[in-house]
Amino acid sequence: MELTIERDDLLRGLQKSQSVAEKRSSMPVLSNVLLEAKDEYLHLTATNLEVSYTGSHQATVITEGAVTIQARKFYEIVKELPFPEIRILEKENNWVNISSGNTEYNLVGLPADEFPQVTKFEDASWVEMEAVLLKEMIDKTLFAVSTEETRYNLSGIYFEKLETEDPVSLRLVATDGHRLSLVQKALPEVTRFDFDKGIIAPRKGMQELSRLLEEGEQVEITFQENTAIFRKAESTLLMRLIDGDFPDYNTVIPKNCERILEIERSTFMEMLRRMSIISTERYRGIRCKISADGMEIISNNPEIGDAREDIPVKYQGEEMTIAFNPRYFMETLAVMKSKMIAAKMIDESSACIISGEEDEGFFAVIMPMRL
Amino acid sequence: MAKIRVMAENLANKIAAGEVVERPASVVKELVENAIDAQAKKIIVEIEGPVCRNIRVIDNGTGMEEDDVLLALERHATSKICTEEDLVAIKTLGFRGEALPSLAAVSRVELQSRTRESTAGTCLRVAAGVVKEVRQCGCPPGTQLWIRDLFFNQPARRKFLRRERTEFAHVLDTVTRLALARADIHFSLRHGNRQGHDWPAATSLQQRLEQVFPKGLAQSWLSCSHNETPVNISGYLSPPEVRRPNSRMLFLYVNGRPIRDRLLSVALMEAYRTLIPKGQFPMGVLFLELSAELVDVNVHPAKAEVRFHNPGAVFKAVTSAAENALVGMERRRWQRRLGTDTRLQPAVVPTPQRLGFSLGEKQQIAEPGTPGFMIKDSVRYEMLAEEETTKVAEEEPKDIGPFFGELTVIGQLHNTYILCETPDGLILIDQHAAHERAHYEALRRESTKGPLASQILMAPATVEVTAEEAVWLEETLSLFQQLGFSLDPFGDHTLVVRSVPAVALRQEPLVLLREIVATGCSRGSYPTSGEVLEDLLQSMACRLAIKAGQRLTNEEMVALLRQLDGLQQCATCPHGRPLWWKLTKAELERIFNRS
Repeated sequence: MELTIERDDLLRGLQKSQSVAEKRSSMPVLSNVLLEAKDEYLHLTATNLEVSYTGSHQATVITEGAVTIQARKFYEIVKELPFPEIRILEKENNWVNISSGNTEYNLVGLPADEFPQVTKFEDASWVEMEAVLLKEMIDKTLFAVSTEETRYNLSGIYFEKLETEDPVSLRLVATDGHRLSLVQKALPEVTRFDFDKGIIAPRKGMQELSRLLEEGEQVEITFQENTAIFRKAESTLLMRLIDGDFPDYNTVIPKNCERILEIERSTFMEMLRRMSIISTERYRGIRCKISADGMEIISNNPEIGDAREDIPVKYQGEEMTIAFNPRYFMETLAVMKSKMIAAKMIDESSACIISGEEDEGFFAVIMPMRL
Repeated sequence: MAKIRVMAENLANKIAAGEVVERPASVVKELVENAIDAQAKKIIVEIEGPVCRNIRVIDNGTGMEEDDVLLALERHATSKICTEEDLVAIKTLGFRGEALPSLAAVSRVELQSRTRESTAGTCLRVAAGVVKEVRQCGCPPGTQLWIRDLFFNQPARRKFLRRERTEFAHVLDTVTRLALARADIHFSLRHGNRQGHDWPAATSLQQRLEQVFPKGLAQSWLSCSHNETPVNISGYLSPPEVRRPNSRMLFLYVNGRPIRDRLLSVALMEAYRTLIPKGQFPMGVLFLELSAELVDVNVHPAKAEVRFHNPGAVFKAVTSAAENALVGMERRRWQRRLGTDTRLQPAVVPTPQRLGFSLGEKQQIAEPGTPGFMIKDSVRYEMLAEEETTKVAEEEPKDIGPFFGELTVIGQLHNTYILCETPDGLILIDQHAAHERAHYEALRRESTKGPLASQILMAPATVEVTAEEAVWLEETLSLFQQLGFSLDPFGDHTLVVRSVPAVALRQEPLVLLREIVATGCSRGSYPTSGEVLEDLLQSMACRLAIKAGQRLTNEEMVALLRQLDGLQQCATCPHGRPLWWKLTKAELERIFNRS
């Protein structure tokens, strides 16, 4: 294998590859990136067996071929090289020579046939979607995905198509059992998604996808058996879907919430940040005493001390004291953009719904704590 | 004819003997106690014959006149109390007036006694309760008693005697118990022709401990004291790593009287609870002094049991005295060496062996102004001789070593131990044990303030339990509320979980719950719900803690070490396994022949 390629193209591809490649793995080849020179392209592929990334970049291919080298090191090298063009040459025993200007590296590689096969997807029917829209939907749900290993069916974002709704919509839902985040957007194309009702896309894959969608434009999507594929310009992201049933979340979304609190999002956020300085541990709760006169937040940590703050709010309903994990609120408020948010509650041991006018199709459910 | 008749005196004595005289050791106990009550300064005990049935006790106490000698063998004849008021405030070891007549009923007794004032002594021989001979004789001041052919007229009792070695071990145990209580008396114990033990009058309890126990054993023991009404407590307790599988090396005294009391042992174990594994016991000598009216010793014929008028206060005092001693030990932890060779062989007579302690923690004992402790109203003991204090103080550096947080972390071994450099050696810390201890103390602190913070679940989850666990849960379910779980039984084998402890959110609370239930159930029943909660907290801490085999970054290790400094106890994990171990520079030098 021998080729020359533009440095900036290569760098872009490697940046995305190395974030997918395993950092520490029992299979050394998974820390490597696969280089394949074919026709006029260099294909870079990285995988952790769950998520795979392929970047295809135009290159001047002198000899076709394939080899793997350490993704992280290769990325660091290319990042520091100042010259616009880089030459990659495969030598004997999977050694790879990288040269640019007066600089030259020889890296130990592994044979390409040790690299796991990545699913082929030639004859897929692609659905197009606005990248920014999908990114917004992912970002509004990703934070609520469970990190518990045993709750496998909650460890991803649930994609649900709502063909009975008018207009036909795509809904993304994530929950960890203590809070839930849901966003729904009208998307006529969703009818063409090749799954029955819904699929669960893994968290790691969604993180990578969100990053990939940063640059905007259109993204092509297809679902094949147990794989979801996202293609955008030169990049393709594959992920294995989570095999499991997403729980029926509709039953946990409270209805008839009669107590409604309205507050400015940024003010509430700042207040929560101030109050949670006292609680160094992630699990500590705060108490919110809410009445028509205003809201008082009390934070208490036996190891450090306590803090309180009050603020006038718009509130209709009975006076109540409810406890929450402030992180759950902060993470929710951070993905919202509304100026004013509404928190609708039933009582101090039932769920609270957060929504905002400018966050169309979005709401979050947060369960209170008992302190 | 009337069926009910008053028993013959001799028969009554035999029955009383059944309670008081069980085996040679109980004979020794009664006779030595008499000698102590007679203000003897030296007591010699000689044991002879098959299964120790011949016993001789010689004292140099006050002795008796002839009339008294005869009376002494009458049941309920005693010089120790004479009014009912005396019974309420007993200051002597004996008082029931049962021992001698009971003994006389089941053996052949020869008694020689002389007071200092009289010129001649009295000699009395009794067999099976019948006086055979009374005559004048020449003898030194004090009393000598020969008990021959114990149980010669009670074949049933005789059969129950064990091997000679076992019986002698019991005698030794009895003499040891009494000797520890009275360091000022010279005790001598002979077995057959052998001089078994000789403990000359000691000036302090410390000195007596050194006489009685193998060399170095008691050196590591911690001084323990508590001076608050109604109980004064003093004595020595072993550090947690020096322990035994039974409580035989725990010597407890109430007003100088050796006793075995469950309440006191439990109170003491409370302080050691998280420091030593279940089924293991510390060693030590503990004296409780309380006003005679507050304790009833007249509960048991052999007086091994007592009743306290205010058991709660006594319990608390014992626990807090022991806890203070143990916390004191923590402060000097860097000089103390946790070794592997600190466990004793389980034997009644411990054999001398090298113990891995570099420090005799004596300087604390002799703090100026420490009051001596009272064994009896009349006698006062100083805890430690003056010159010994100064000697010890010179030998041992007084500064407290660095804290965990100040240690230089060298790295992690087998992803399990944190290695740290100290000026005088290498410290290994078990990462799981350390983190577990930190979690445990935090959980415990929070649980005293009410239930732990709990996160309500969106949709209740269910957890399956076994039939056995379901039965166990019937009684313990409410305790789970304290831990932050709200659970409801649902059917026979299912629990509905409505909320989980917030602290466990990231560690899969349902898995945690299943494990806690399984562990708790396998331990079986507990006397109090407090102990169950304690155990649940322990297993929760264990599950929350980082595991062995988990790679830690340098920052994580340093953070963990800092956490340790804030802890009350950091010698062991809550199950009593050691948390850290020090390899001293001297040991390393020995290994590499660098001396």
